[in-house]
Parts: sequence; C-alpha cells; structure tokens
Amino acid sequence: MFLENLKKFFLWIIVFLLILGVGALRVYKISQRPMHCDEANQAYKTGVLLERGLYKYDPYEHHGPFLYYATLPVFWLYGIKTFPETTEIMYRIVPVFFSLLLFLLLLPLRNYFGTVAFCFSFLFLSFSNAFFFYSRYYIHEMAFVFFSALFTILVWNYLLHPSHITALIGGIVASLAFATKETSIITIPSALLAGLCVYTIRIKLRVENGNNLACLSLRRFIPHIILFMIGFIPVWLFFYSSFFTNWAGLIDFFRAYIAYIVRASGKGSSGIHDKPWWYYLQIITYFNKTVGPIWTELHILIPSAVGVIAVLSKIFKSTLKKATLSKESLLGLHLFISYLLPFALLSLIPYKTPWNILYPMFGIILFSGIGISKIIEIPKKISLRMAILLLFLLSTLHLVNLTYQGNFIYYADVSNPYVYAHTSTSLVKMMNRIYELSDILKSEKEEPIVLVIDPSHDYWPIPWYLRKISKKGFYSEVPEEIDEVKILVVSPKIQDKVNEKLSLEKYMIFTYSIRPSELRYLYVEKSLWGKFMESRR
Amino acid sequence: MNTYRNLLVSVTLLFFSLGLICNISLAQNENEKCTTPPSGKVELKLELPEPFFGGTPIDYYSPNFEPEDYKDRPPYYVPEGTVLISRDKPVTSSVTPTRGQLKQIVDGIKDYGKKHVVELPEGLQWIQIDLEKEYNIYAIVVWHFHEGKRVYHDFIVTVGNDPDFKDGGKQVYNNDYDNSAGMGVGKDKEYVENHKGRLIGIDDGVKGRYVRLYSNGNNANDMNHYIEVEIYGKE
Repeated sequence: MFLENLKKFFLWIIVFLLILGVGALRVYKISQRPMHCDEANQAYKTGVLLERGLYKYDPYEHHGPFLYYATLPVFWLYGIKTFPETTEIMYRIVPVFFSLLLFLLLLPLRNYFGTVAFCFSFLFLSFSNAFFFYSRYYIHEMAFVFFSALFTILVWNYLLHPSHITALIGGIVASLAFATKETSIITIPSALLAGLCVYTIRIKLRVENGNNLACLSLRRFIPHIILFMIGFIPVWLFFYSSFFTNWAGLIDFFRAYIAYIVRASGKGSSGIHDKPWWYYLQIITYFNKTVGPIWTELHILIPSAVGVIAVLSKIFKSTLKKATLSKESLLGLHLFISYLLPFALLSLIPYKTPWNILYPMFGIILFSGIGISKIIEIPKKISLRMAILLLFLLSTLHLVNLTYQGNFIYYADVSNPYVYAHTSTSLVKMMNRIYELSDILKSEKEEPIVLVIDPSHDYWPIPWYLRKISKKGFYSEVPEEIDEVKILVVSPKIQDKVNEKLSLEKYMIFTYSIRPSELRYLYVEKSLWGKFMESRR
Repeated sequence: MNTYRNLLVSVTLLFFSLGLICNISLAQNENEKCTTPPSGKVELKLELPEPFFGGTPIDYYSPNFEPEDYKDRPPYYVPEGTVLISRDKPVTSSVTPTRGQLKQIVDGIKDYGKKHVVELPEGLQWIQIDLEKEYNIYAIVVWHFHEGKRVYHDFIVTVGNDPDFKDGGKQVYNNDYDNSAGMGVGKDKEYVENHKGRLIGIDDGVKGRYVRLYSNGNNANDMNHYIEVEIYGKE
C-alpha cells in the first residue's frame, strides 16, 4: 500500500513538473507577438477594472466578464495599480494558466485508456500549434475550453456517482463557462446531451461492473438539479452583475444571445468572418497560402480518427452482439458526443474565427491518445509495438517543429493559420518610433501629443500601445488646430482631408501597417524629425 | 487672287510638314543618342521572369520613396566583356534561412512562386555571395519578392574583399533613411518590388570578391526574402 502511494506520489510529481515545463515553454518570449486588436481591447477593459473598479458587461462584444476579473490577481501579485504600468505578460499569463489546468483533465484518460493514451494526449496538448498559439493569447478561449472540458468530465463523473457535490460543482463550473464565453450555449448542452445518450444506452445495454454506473431516479435527480442551480446562479449573479454594480448585466446576459445569433448568421459587419463549413478542418489538415511551412496537425488528427473508430466500432459490435459494454467505451461515446456536436455546430455556423477550433481540438487530442493506444495494441510483438511508438514520436517531432515556427518565427505572419486579422509587427515599429520621438519632446520639456485619425474608428490596438502617453486623442474627423500637433497617425481613408488642413511642407510622412494591407501613415513634424535624426547619427 | 491664296496655303503646309519631319528626325536622333552605348560599353541584357498579375497597389510614403514605375527600365551600359559572375557561387547568410536554400539565390530561377523564395528570419539579416576571386563589379540586380507589392527596408549592398566586412566594405546601395541598421543614413530609394528586379548600376565599377546584401523586413512582415541576385562584372 505504501509503495503504491509512493508510486502515485512520484507520478504526480512527474506530471506536475512536466506541466511546469510546458508552462515555461509557453511563457518564453510571450510578449514577442504584437497585441491583437481583441487582446488590446480586452486589456484596456481590464485596465479600467483595475484603475476604477468598473466593469459593465457588453452584450454585443468582448464576451463574458470572467477573463477581466481573473486577470486582477496577476496585477495584485505584480503590485500594479495603473493601466500604463501593465505589460503583455501580465495579461497573457492568464490564458497560459488555464492552458496548464487543461492537462489535469487528461488524468481520467489514464484510468480508462492507459498510460500510452495519457502520454500521447499530454504530448499533443503540449505541442499542438493551435493550443500553444492561443494559450499565449489574451482572449477568453482557453478559460472557456477549460471550464467546458471540466464540465464534460463532471457529467461523466455524475453518471458514475450522482452525488450532491458533483451536482453543485457542476453548476459552478457551467456558470463559470457561461461567465467566460457565450459559446457555452453550445458546449455545456452538448456535454449534457452526451451524458443523456450514455445514460440511455446504459439502461438498454449491460455494462461491465454495471453496479458502478448509478441508476438515477427522479426523486434523486430533482435535488441534484436544485443543487446545480444553487451552484450556477450565485456565480452567474456575481459576474454578470459585475459584483452587484451593474444589475442591467443580468438582462444583457440574455440579450447577448440575440446579438450572437445575428452574428453567427454572418449578418452585418460580422460577415467578414464568414467562412465555408470546412474552414476548421482546413486549418488543422493543410494550410499553405504564402511563403511559409505547410501547416498541419494531421499528426493529431489521424490517430484521433483511429481512436474514434475504435471506440464507436466497439460500441457497435457490442450492440449487435448484445454483449457487455465496457465503461471505457461509454466514456469514449460520452467524449465523442461532447466534442463532435460543438465541432459540427461551429462548422455549420458561417461566423468562424480560428480560435473556435480549440474546444473541438481538445476532444481531438483526447481521442488521438486513445487512437495510438489502440494502434500499438494491434501487433503482438513488443518490438513492433516499440517501432510504432517510435514512429509516432518521430511524427511528433515534426509537429513540435511546426509549433516552434508558428510561435517563434511566423508568430505574426499571415502564412500561419492561427494568425487571424492580426496586428502587424509594423505597427509595433510605428509605436516604438512614436515613443522615441516623444522622448525627444520630453527632453525639451514638451508634453508629447499624439492624434490618431480614422473615420472608421479602426483604432485598436493603438490605444494599448499608446497607454503610456497621457495626451492623446482618437478622432473620426479631422480635428481643428491639427497643425499644432507634431505626431499624427492617419488612416488612408482620411488622408486627403488631413492633407488639406495641414501645412504639408511642415511634415514628414512614413508608412506602416496596422494589419497586413491596412496602412497607417505616421506624420512627424520636420523639425522634430530633424532632432530625431541628429540623435541617431 | 486664288493663285496667291493657294500658294500661301501650300507654303504654310510645306512649312509645317517640314517642321514635323524635323521633329521626328530630331526625336529619332535623340533616341539613337540614348540607345547608342557609350564607347567601350554594351547594354546589359537581363532575363526577366514572368510578372505576377495581382496584388493590391500600396500607397506608400517614406522620405526617400521612389514611386512605382510601370515603364520599361532604360538600358544600362556596362564595359564590354562584363558577364554574369555570381551564378552558382557560394552563398552564406547571417542566419539559417527559414525557407528555401541559399544556393537558390544564385540558381538563375527568378519566378515569383513561393518555392523559389528564400526566407531569412525577422530583423536585420544579410546574405553574402562569394565570387571566389576579385572582380570589377558593374551591376547588381536583386529580386527580393514579386508575388505582390512589397517594399523592403534597410536594403544595403556592400562590396569588399574581407569576408567579415570588418572594414565595412564599400556601400553601393543604402536606402536606410533613419539609420535603423546602424550603417549610416542612406540616400538611395525605397521602392516597390517587381519582376524587373532592382538594378544597382555601378558606372565606374567597384572591386571586390564578396557582395553582402542586408535587409530588415518589409512592409508586409518582418521577414527577409530573396528570389535571385545577379552580379555582373569582369576580371
């Protein structure tokens, strides 16, 4: 017994150290990639929450409140009190944290499908380009995937042991998922539906050690629903009322779904995100649009398909033969429905963004481990098994290489399928130049003023980058007395009007881009530019 | 009266006709003047790849930007006996390419297709061609990328005899207007890449064995690309 516990303890230590190792990799050069406009916008909202304690749920944009509140402890740890003091790492560390928690959700896999399944799923979760990329991205996705995946496991756990505590925790976790992202309306019901399917099959078919799969009676079930709601409602109330400071948020929670249905259908401005049904499949199978590697995650997808076939065929055979079903098969079915349904729905919805692939991708990773464990069981000879294992490990090396390139070379390049409507590195150069020019003005005791002019209000992520400049303005029209400002950022859409108002002979114009093919012009007063060049000679 | 009028019209017509003939003749002479190589020189003939039809035009501004020119490049003359001296010569670089192989830069294939593009990572990077002996170099032609409109930054070309360029070499092109590469402010132009490549003419020639080309990303991304570099010279 002692030896068994000691073995378990060391196993935990190893898993913990491995997770820490993955965490270290994900934090490495975490600030290198420019802030995406969504990241910048969310960082700004978190900044307002930090400085003024204000947060108001917006039913049309920016998703749920959880991410903003979850970032506050990071600022407390750093001892940060104002938005300009914050840096990229303080925000991006939050999704990294949730991406590491996801590894803990692989542990049940070991109990049912063995160590090989667990190890490969662990490996793929560590080096999937999609997961690596978005685990360093300050958006809601990683926390959303964690809560949704945890809920799926809780549903399974409930099927095994329908206890009060599981029902209560299930309510809390489901609520946290809803507090993170509205797409929970797809993932949470999918997990419940999967549970219902498994429960139905469990009634119709015999299950190995069936005693361990509980039978639910209505008398037992109703208190659990109440407990689920006891867990769900307070969390929902806290977050959507912004901790009792914005009661309208509770109504906005429901209004959001009207807005999101419109968005999902691709109406209005969100039409630019419309893509064909096979978009998600494309980005994980073959993506090669411009100079860059051929991006693929077939290393995960192929064994995953084998895993799905293995699980489903076993259920099918058992059903035909009216044989006993294993719990392993039932869990496989539960996971299959839980992840396939959202994958199918997200693929059918015209509105698509690449980070939406993450939740289905987590399911694909789970099945890839199962698939490999099934494949290596096929040959009887140990040497052949080892050879297959080696083959998979070698293919993983290719995946690691792609993930390295995706995160450290093509991290802001359109050739990378996960670089989506991303801020150009060119914008960061422009912002750095603005700070260099500001330093010259400051050295002459002059307060730098920067104006950003864009008739379509397409400013983000510039407000994030200009957070340390106190005198700045964002205009959709050309402001009066523009001539007195020494640094201007101008959209091509309004450049003619700006040129009409400005004394052009006083300015130098430089070209940068906010996103690929979206130019922004930096106007710098000539005397200031002259001083800048003097400082560089 | 009519006779006088007809005469006047005839003289006027004759006058204008002669004028027209003179103009044409002068223009031809002018053309001949342009197309006639200076003594001892011949026109540098380049093989150009197929152009890429596509790409959004860019409204680019910078202090030393050369607006895109769709006209044919005027002929460039090099001393007789000047030949392509860079084909299949050894190429090294500041860093291992992220795409392609360095030898592709001197293989003569100038197509815009992505498999012909050699990519170096972000930041200021260089490639260096070893001509294997000293030459008098009269022209360098560079194709960075032409599947779309791009402007490459801090494009600097130096020629020298020291493989490490400890002496800095002799700069024959520099469009780094803000000295961001730290090699001095350049007066040469930034330009939009196209299938014609960038011809760097060195009228009086420059002696050297090594040619080093720097760049620091482009307007689309921070990567550095080369499709082909051709160096023309004579011993």
